Amino acid sequence: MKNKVTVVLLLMVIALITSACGGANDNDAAQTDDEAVEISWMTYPPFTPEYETMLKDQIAAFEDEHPNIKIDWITNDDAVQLTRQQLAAGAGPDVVYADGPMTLRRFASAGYLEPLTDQVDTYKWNDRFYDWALSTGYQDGELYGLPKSYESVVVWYNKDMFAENGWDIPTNLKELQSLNQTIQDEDIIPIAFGASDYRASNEWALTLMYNAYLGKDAMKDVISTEMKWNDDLVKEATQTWVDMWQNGDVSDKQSHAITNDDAWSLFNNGQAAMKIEGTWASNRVMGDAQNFDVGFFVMPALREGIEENIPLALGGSTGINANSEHKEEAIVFLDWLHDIEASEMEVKLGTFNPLVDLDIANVEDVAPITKDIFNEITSYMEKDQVGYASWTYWPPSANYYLWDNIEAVFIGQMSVDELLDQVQKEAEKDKEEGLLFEFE
Amino acid sequence: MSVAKHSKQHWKKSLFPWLLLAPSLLLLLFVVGGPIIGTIFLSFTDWDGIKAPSFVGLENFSRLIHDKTFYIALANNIKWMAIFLTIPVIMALIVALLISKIARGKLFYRTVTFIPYILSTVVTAKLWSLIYNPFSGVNTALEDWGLDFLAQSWIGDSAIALFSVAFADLWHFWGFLVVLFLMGMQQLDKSIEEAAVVEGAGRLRVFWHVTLPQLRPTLVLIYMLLIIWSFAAFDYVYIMTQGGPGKSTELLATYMYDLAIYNYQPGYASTVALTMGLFAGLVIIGFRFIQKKGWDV
Repeated sequence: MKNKVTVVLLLMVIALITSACGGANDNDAAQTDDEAVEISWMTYPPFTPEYETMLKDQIAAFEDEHPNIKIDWITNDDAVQLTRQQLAAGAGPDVVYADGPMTLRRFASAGYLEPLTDQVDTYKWNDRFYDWALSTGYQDGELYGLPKSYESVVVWYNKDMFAENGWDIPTNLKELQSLNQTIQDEDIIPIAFGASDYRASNEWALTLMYNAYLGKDAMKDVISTEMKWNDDLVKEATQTWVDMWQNGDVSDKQSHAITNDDAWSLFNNGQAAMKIEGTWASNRVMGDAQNFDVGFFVMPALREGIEENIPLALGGSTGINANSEHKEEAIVFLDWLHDIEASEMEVKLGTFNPLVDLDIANVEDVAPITKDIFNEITSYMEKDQVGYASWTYWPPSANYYLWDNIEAVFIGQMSVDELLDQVQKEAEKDKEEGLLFEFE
Repeated sequence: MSVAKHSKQHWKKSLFPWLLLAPSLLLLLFVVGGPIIGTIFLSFTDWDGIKAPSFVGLENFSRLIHDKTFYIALANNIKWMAIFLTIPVIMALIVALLISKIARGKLFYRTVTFIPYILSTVVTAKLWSLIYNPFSGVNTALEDWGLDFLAQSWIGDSAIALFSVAFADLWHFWGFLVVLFLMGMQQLDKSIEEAAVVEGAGRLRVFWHVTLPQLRPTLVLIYMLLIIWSFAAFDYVYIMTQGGPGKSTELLATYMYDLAIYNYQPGYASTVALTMGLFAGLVIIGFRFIQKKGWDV
């Protein structure tokens, strides 16, 4: 009884905190069928109409194959927060979407998710997924979720502008700095970046810079706290990014005063030559927003003696609610969402599920830029030159402190030393709470 | 009068109204009282929003005392309050006074001043974000007019970012104050004003010694609302700067939201929320105090 009262109180408080920013539910419930089992699945609203159509097609295809299961697809602007509240109250959707492995593991450690280890052999998930991706769903030796859509952060650039001015893609830090200066001399902003509407996006740039400067091995050591976050190497990486910002290379020192859309406008209008963003931005360069060719490149190694790498992340992870009344059916849907048929439907829109057999050459009507991204990431995976993106691997409190305060360093309110000393403390706290990523 | 009749009347007079009010009161208790109790409870826990909360005593309050960001946010809230207690109130009072003196077209001017208030917060905040855009907003116009020296990084410069965001809110909000003042002015006793004029008092003196004292209840109400709302300010900052650059526009509400949602610390966020509630409570107590002192509030 005491627990129930506690849960009710907690829910009311959370509802109060989130009410100002919560969106309305948008139920796209499947048709009710008395004989069919209904499985609920909550996600964020699709970010494009094409994506919505694709998801509806996926659901329709699944229901055709499994007439005994109906999917109640629910979208919400705060899907993960709402799921979190519902799970805390012993409710929540049958199929639980988390915005990455870290959230999935938090849910798992609280006992909200059903262990799926026994299903690994049944569905041959070990053969289907890349090892690095499937391993992110494990917590204390049990599998709690499947990995969804891998992604990275790259530098998008104006191919025409580069060609007209004879600029080359940089291969080291010196060349990058020199390129930035050359671009500035032409009264063009070297790198467009905007974070005023979503300050967490600062982690995209930090992910790129840290992986490029530290290299994958040192990055892994820092994440696991074997190397300290306030180590000289991390300080150098941070200072390199801060120097670039203070030199006016990044949105003319206004990245904190413009939104991400504003930054894309600078790029699309030819006012900026490059744009830092994730590979998900391929959707932005497939339309008619630009009247020039857009390319991308992987940030070069910014330090002598290390190989360049592409930082990898998972855009989502999905598990099964431990309180679901239809676990068996929910697992069938979970498996279907991650099989080759569903994944090929997603590839066209630039979403890549981490399946070993997913070959973009087998899929029709894929935009060239999407193919290029897919092939580039795959080639780096094959070469084992992959780094670690913040939103999948970094200690959560340390990562939060970093992106929350990097702008204070840009504008001189805080020093790099002060920033990283506190980040180290936050990482130690994360370690105490068992929130560090468990590398196998 | 029979005992039965007396008892029936007593029931009607004292218990029946409460019975009618009961559903609303119960709802109020549930909707308002529940979260308050929940917030107080959570402020003594380390709840991460996922696992069951553990009692940590006064640890969150001890952390709050040493939390630099809390003090920055508190200072920003006080600045925010100072802005709203002065600029929009003075603007609204002057404009309301002018409108009240107009014989024709009063409705037009009243509507014009009120129009921004009917725009949604998100629309207004996005509109002002466009205006403040350093690459395409008002700076471009200023440069075209040869007024480059006035161009600023309106929400990028930590020295002025808070004022820029507050100005956007103020632009949206001040028409509401105009309407409140106009309503207050309609209640004024015109004969006192006329008597003062007959006695030779100038316009300024009439305003200062006759009009303004009569508007005191309206002013007190406005000040009470503004002080409480200033401590709950959230939306403009969240949409336009999310507390940045650095912590220049961080407010208690945005800080609390970040802690609860991004940093998985709703336990500590509740402690911050509690301080906001305490400030609001102090304000109400303060106004009750001046009311008891005989002010017409």
